[in-house]
Amino acid sequence: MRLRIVVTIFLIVSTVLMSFLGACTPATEEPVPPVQSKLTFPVDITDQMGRVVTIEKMPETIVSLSPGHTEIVFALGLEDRLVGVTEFCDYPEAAKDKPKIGGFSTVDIERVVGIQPDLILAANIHRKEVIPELERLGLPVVCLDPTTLEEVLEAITLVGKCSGQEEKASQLATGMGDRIKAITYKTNNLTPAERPRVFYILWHDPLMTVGSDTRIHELIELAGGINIAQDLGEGYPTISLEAVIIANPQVIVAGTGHGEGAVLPYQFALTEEKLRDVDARVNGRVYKINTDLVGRPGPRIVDGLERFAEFIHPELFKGDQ
Amino acid sequence: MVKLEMQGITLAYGDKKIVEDITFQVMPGEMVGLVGPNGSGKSTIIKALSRVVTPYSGTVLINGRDISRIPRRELSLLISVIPQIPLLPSAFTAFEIVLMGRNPHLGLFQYEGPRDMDIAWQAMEQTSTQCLAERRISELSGGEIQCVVIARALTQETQAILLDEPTANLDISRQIEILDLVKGLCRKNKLAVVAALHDLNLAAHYCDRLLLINRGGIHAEGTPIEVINTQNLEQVYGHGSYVHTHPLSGLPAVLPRVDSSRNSSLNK
Amino acid sequence: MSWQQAKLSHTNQAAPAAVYPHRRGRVYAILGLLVLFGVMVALAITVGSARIPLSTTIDILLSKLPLVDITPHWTSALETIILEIRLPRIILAGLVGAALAIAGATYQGLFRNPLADPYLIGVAQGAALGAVVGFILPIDWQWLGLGTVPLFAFVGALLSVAVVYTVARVGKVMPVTTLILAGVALGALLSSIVSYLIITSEEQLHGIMFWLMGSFSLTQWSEIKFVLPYMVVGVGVLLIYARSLNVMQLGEEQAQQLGIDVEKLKLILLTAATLVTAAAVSFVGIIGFVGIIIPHAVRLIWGPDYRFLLPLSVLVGAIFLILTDIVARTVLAPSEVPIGVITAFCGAPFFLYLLRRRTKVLF
Repeated sequence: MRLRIVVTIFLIVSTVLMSFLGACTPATEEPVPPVQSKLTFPVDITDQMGRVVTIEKMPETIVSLSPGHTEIVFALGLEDRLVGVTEFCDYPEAAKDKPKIGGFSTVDIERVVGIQPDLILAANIHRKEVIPELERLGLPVVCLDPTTLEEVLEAITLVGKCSGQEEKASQLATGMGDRIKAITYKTNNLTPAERPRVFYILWHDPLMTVGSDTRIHELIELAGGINIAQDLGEGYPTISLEAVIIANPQVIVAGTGHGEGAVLPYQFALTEEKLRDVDARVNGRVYKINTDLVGRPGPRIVDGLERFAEFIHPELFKGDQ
Repeated sequence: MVKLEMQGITLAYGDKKIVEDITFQVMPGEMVGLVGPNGSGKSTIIKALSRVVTPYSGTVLINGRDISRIPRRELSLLISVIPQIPLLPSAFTAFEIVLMGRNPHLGLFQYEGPRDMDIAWQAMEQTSTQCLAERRISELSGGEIQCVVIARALTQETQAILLDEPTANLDISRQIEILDLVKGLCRKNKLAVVAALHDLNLAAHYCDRLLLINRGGIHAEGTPIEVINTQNLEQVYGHGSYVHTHPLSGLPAVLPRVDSSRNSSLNK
Repeated sequence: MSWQQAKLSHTNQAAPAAVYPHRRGRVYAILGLLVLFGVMVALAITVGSARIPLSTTIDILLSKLPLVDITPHWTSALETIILEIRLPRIILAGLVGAALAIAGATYQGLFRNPLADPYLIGVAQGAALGAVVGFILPIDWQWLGLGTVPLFAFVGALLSVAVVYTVARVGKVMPVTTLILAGVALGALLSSIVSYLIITSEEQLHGIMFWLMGSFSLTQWSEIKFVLPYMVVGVGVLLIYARSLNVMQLGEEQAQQLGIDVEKLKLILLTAATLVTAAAVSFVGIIGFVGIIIPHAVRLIWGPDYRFLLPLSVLVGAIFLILTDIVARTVLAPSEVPIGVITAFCGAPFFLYLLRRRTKVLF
């Protein structure tokens, strides 16, 4: 009995001690070699989680933990340095051939550690467990967590700064900014009466839509529409069919994702009997959009915005289907 | 009026035989007692008579008909059983339990009518359980439950009644009351009654005939005077008791021995 | 010879009305609950995430009666909401609540066990497996206006109970304890298969989880048409055998001695209760609490006689689930809370209150 108590106390004390030690480990202690680059490394950056990260040298190896980040890396011409992507990174095509380090929420830490990358790009969902773990192992992690379009541009700039591609990033961001302005120029001054009511279907059973703090909501607003679920709260809430009917959206956009049920929300929007009297159905304004275009915080999000603009204000934005 | 018969009955649980090749009859108006040591098979015989247990071999007949061929509902109009340890659902009232005795008389869609209620009420009066009518089973003592179950059997209005140790939990006045009642009904209505009894004195006093069951067979059969004698008791029960004659009825009365020969048999 | 002629005592009293099994009180209870049911339905129709004036609602309903002629002064959207969203949903909630409550009461009587509920012998797990298979398979045909998922769930539910019954049966006899054990074992096996399929399927994950939790949204009239016959027949059969179920409470031996064909009764009750449960679960998902607690609540108030317990459970179950659905629809409107979450939340406190108050034996 006494032995048991002693062993238990020993285990507790050693666990507490080890966690203290772990928290105190410094990130890296290597001396800084001189690098050929326009930028001076090491560079301190503040990532979008508010963490201050020191990038010691120009990263030769980059690992991306999110499909959106992968797209940014490719857009900045850094694909040769990209040595690890998730299973879901499928754009551009070349991304599919890169070595895999796990899923989106299920990162294989061991594999990442095995690669010993110079830079890891993480996302919001990695906050709780993955990022602290990587920090503990002494790997440089930058968290990109853009919640608005502005912040997506900032994220791109950030990646450029981390990787010595500031100029390319600046060009990309400016280009995207211009395209966004081309749209908001026309939509900013619309009166509420001129903004159509838009219903975005994330999934049909249960019926799920987007709340006011999501990027998709912002896209709707920037494209000159009103999200009928804007008062609904945050995240991706369920909504009752009744509420949709009463709100009478003039435009319905269904997200098409991956896998077996990909096209079901769109089919639902087109064929559900109870929605037959809703303006969007009566006027044939039911559209689908690839969720990668609006869901991923990467360069293509402006493509998503442009599609939205075409759906919502066809009279202002003629698109080439 | 019914006549019960067992012909060549062997009863077994699995491969273990309890009684072998038993044959006897019970005539209407006759009260037959099954007596014997614990575990001799009295309860099993009662169960076989009511078709709760299937005989290993042999047949049970009621008025010449094989009871295994008779549908349950019809059988329960002919035979009612008072079980040894009745497990009753605790939330029902005594009256509701007694009223269940009317079940064989009711069709699937029928409900109990006033006549059924009256019969149940009177059965409870016969068994002095009317005061318990509104009480829940969980509140009753073992003896009270026993009387409720007897009332239920009476409510069934059958021509044959089987009793499995009906007086086990009752005090002496209740025992006499119940057996008086059953014997009276037996006579008046010409019922065929089979009672498994452990109390030899009560058996001697109330039963017309006795079957002494021992080691899987009928050790003795006949009137109480014929069956309950010291020799039979010694052979079946050992040396602990002897048979006296009841001073008023002339029937056998069983009493414990108080001499040295009993002590020596206990020390074996 | 008539029994009454031969009795030994000389009194000839009739049973006092007091011992008549409280029939009148319970009949009044049934009538009262019917009224309450009507009130609940009316409430459910008028309440929802969309605000519709009461007069409009009444007019919409009245206009559907034959011979009534009201010129529509409402939009078709409102009519769609009332007649195609709310009404079918309320009806299904009532049917499912009734079915689960009566099935639960029956199982408790059949197994003589207060912990029995309609899902004891594998109905829910079989339905879940069927539904998951229906989700995952790429076929998407419709039959009678019903999708693959509920049909597969229904078949799965019935098949699993059939398997359990076949395993448990020994010759002509079906021992009740064996049935329970076989049901629990098979249920566990099916559950693990369901979990495995869900984990390895990724895509349809959230759809399946929501289905499993139970939901009345997107109820169609075609679903009600499918479910109704099973409910009516099943509930009808159970009500007919209520008195026999009373006698079964004495145990199989005594019940046999009182004329009950025990094996036949077990089979009938099992089949009817399983049928209504399968119909309920297949279209709505797994809703807990109703099947086990509603019968006990009814027992606490009105006693254990199954001739009243069963119909009262039907009414209380229907009222309870309609009420719960109202809460699920309105508490976070216009979002909806899955109904399985709400049932225990609503019902448990009330049941605990009943337990505290009890003065008599429960089962």
